[in-house]
Amino acid sequence: MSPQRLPARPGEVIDRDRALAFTWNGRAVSGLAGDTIASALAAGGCRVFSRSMKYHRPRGILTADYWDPNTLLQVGEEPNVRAGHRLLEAGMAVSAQNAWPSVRWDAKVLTNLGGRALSAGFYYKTFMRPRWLWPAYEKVLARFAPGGVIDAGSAPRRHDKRYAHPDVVVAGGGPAGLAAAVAAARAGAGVLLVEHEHALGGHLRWGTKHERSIAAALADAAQVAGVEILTDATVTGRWEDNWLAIVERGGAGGPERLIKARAKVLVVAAGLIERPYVFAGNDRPGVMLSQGARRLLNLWAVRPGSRAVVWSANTAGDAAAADLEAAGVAVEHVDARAGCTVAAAQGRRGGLEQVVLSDGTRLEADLLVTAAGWTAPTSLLNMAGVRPRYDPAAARFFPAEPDVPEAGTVLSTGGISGDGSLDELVGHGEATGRLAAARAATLAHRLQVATAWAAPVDGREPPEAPDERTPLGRDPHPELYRSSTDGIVDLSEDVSSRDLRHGAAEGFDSVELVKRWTTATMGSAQGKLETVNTVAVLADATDSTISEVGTTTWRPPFAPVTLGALAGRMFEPVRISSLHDLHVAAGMTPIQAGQWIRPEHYGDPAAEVRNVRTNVGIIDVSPLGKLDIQGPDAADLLSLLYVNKWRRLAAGAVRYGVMCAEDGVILDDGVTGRLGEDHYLMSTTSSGSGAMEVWIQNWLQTEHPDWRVRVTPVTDAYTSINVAGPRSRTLLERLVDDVDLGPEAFKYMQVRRGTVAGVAGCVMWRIGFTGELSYELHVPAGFGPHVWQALLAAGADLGVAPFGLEAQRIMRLEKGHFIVGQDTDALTKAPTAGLERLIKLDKPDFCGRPELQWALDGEPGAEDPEALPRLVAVQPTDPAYVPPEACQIVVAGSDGNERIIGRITSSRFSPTLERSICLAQVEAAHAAPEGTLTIVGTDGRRRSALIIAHHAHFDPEGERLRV
Amino acid sequence: MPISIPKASASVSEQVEFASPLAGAGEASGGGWRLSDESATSKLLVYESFEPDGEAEWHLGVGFGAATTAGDGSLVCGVRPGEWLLLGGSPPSAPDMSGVVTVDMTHGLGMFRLAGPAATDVLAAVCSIDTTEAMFPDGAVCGASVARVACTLVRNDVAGERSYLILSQRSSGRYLFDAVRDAGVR
Repeated sequence: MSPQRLPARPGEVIDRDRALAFTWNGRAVSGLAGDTIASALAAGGCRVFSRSMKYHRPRGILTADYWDPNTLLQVGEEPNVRAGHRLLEAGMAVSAQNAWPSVRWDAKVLTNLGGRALSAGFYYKTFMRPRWLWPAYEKVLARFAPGGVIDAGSAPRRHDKRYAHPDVVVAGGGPAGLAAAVAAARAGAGVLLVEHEHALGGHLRWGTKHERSIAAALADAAQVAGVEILTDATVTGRWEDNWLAIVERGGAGGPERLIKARAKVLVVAAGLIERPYVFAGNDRPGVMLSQGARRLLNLWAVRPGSRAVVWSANTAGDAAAADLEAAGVAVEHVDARAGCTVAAAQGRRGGLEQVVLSDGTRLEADLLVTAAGWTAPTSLLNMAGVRPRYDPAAARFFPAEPDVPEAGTVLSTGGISGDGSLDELVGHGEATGRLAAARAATLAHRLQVATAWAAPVDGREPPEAPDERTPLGRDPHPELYRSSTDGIVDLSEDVSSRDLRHGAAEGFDSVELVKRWTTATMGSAQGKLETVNTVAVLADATDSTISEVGTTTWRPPFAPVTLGALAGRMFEPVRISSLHDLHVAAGMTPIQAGQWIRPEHYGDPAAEVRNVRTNVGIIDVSPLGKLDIQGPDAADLLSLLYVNKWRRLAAGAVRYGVMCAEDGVILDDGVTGRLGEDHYLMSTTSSGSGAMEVWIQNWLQTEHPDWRVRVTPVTDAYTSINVAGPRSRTLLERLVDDVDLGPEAFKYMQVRRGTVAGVAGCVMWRIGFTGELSYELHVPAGFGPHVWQALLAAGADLGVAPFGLEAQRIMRLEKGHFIVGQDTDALTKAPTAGLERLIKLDKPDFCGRPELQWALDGEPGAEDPEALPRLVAVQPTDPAYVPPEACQIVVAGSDGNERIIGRITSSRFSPTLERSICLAQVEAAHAAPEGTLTIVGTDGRRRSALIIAHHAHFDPEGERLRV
Repeated sequence: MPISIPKASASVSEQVEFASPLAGAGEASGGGWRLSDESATSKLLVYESFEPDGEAEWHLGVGFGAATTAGDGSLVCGVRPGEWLLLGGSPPSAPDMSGVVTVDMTHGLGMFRLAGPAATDVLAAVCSIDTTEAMFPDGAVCGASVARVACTLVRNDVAGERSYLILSQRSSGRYLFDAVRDAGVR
């Protein structure tokens, strides 16, 4: 038996038949199943669990729950584990943090000797100057940083995520919360009950037999009523329309799971959190809150001390005294209501030996239990716009009357709302649950009416439910915050009442300022224990009332959430064409382009280029955006979108077009073929396909809803294969029956529909990005692999081979075709890219027309069209030098300094020409053909280059593609 | 979906098989859920007539947000206002009305079925849509983000068992199938 473990007690949650072995600071120890780490250690006689953040003062159990600031421990690879809450597991390697060489003998305690100098703001004031010394400061301070150790090499943990849409979420599974959940469920609502602790019942769990039986009955009723119950979970944030973040710890979803719940009504039943009292030595091991002592005694059968002083201002403290006495602890019961307070807790070596009362009485004790009052954790209500309001008679904050309409869907019950007998609390909870269910039913009705896919609703909206709750009372309670001595206010951050007073004296006299100056309320307890004491000390220091000082703002998260839980499941969608597996089998080197995984090459892009130029190659261009456009007004739509003319495009013809935004900047380009009288197939760039669909739908739905035209994205409906090379026609003739592929019957820039390799419904465009005779086949995607394999099989004797994106990019650069977004940018207007002739200002209207006309006509105020940057083809003088893309182009100015006049937008080494080739944007004044440019390489060297007359470095007349 | 090759001179297969976007994934199952590939189902997109007289809706028998089984066995889904997706039936049948545009999306959309008593729980891990009975009953249709992919979601119970059809653009199909399967396995 562990030295502090008591004989079996009614209500204990430990399994005495299941011992769990673990280590504490490397020493083998044991606990019982059902123990928390802290209770197991306490049962073994451990008194000092940690060292404080700044002064390294020894710390012991204070609350024995999740919020205990003194029991943050390292467990294996995991730092900052809340040992007051985390259940013990066999094999855990538990160790203290923030201490060296040990938590018992911590050398860093020397900082405590300079404690008076290390007041709030010490770091801010001391380490500001000289600024150049900051890196050294940083290294030294990092050694004093609190917290555990992160193992960067530990395996990443998988975190899950879940969405939920309950009618009612009840935050808190104490008596009122349980009653609310049961009542709401019985009224027909779908209820999610979220309890912070490992079991339902709230404070009844460590209460009397009667209280425990009530808790058990309510928990059973919740099960029967169909309430979904989450224990060891916290509603940690609330946003508009009751969008709730619930963190579930250690469940089926991994170490932490984030549940995003959209509740119609939120019931906050978070109970009350006991408040420490501030006095000299109040952080000494052996000083404990009454709830902490009762939890240790009654849940885990751990005796927290052998000789106790219980200083009590309320019935909870009285109950703690009774429980301790019943457990055989010698108790000195001091009634705070009679006016006596604690002045100091004293002892040696991190222990408690003596309690000094305000009347000078000295009492020997190894345990001091305080019951000074309560804090209402109103965070979730605050997040809904409900402000806390202080009641000095009850010595705590209560939610004020809601002054925001949305607050009608956020209700509170239980201790957070007021005091009462157990029956009254349960009754209030039940009435709140019924009200929540009724309001949820009204909202559900409205949602169903407003949602097209919801089940139809019968009848009228349910009438507004009246609030039939009898308000809970408020028990009088003495205002007990700080004694005549100074003590620690924020045990997480080692902020004392003296620090707060000094902060106020330095001018940080609002609670929001002093919070940031001292870091009070910013530690692991996040204000749960120390906010009201901070406010009270500040009120005292500024001669104000607590109401006048007010509280800090409580924001999400209410309880800490790991970054892993916030990240949740990693969704990284990728898109693949129907030919993906064939590319993999062919040994592709993949490249990710947007979401698409594409073949960059199959081993040797230069060889792929040469094969296309001499034989025939096939490339998967499925990501090319494709839009099916049908309807009598389709030509009007095309005329609106493109800068050039479309009304006279003949059926069977294809035309290149450029789209501009309203400001004349190039948005996208591509070809569109006319498949029938009112039927077109438009292509867009691969990267722009999604944006173009939105762009087009925006114009149609907002500006021209009267137009009779339907636009359908069909990018994925087709596997698109470009067959390119001088032997492409020969190859296709072997697979196409029903289309005459002859040069006269199927000319350049024409479209046909036919059957390829037995696959009907294929669209064939005679176009090409490579500059070779080529055909772009759009094959129903489910048959894409068949056609691809058929092409390879039928053209084996022709030298057919697949080529990748890199080869295509080389060949398009050889031909001088620009890529929107690479050779153009967010300022590139159509004339910049050499597209003046394409822009038809004589047609009625099109996107970008006013701006382009303004620019091209040289209207007053417009930029001189001749001054716009130009896209030019450039050949470095050194044919082997390929300037990296984005290299600057400069010119020597009259002052001798260089000036940037442009940049390289695309560059490659051409296997065809056996030299480097580029496209560049340069100022118009320097863009004349045969002009010389100076390129600044990434190595800083200047290299000359020549502007050539045509964008195309290869076959500028286009003879190869028109054969 | 085999079809014959008319040109025997080419050295190609004589049969053309429909290649599903989920090829290689196929089927998956876990505790209370099953995934099955239904991509080969014909899918015909039908638009409302240019004259918005409601005739198409009258013919198709269902409006936006709902699905119904037509006489030929196809499932008619109102995917957006004035737009329907006809699933199944061979060959796809469209209402014979002037001014109605149809587009065959059989090849453009991947489709799989998530079924079983745990199907809703699996879906809740990857999709934020409210699938409670009142808000998403059998026959409901909506657009939804599933594992960050834009999808059409159809509640299509089979023999009283919860079942969802999930349709996405074909290229995302395999990723999406894997993401939903992973959600089920976890």
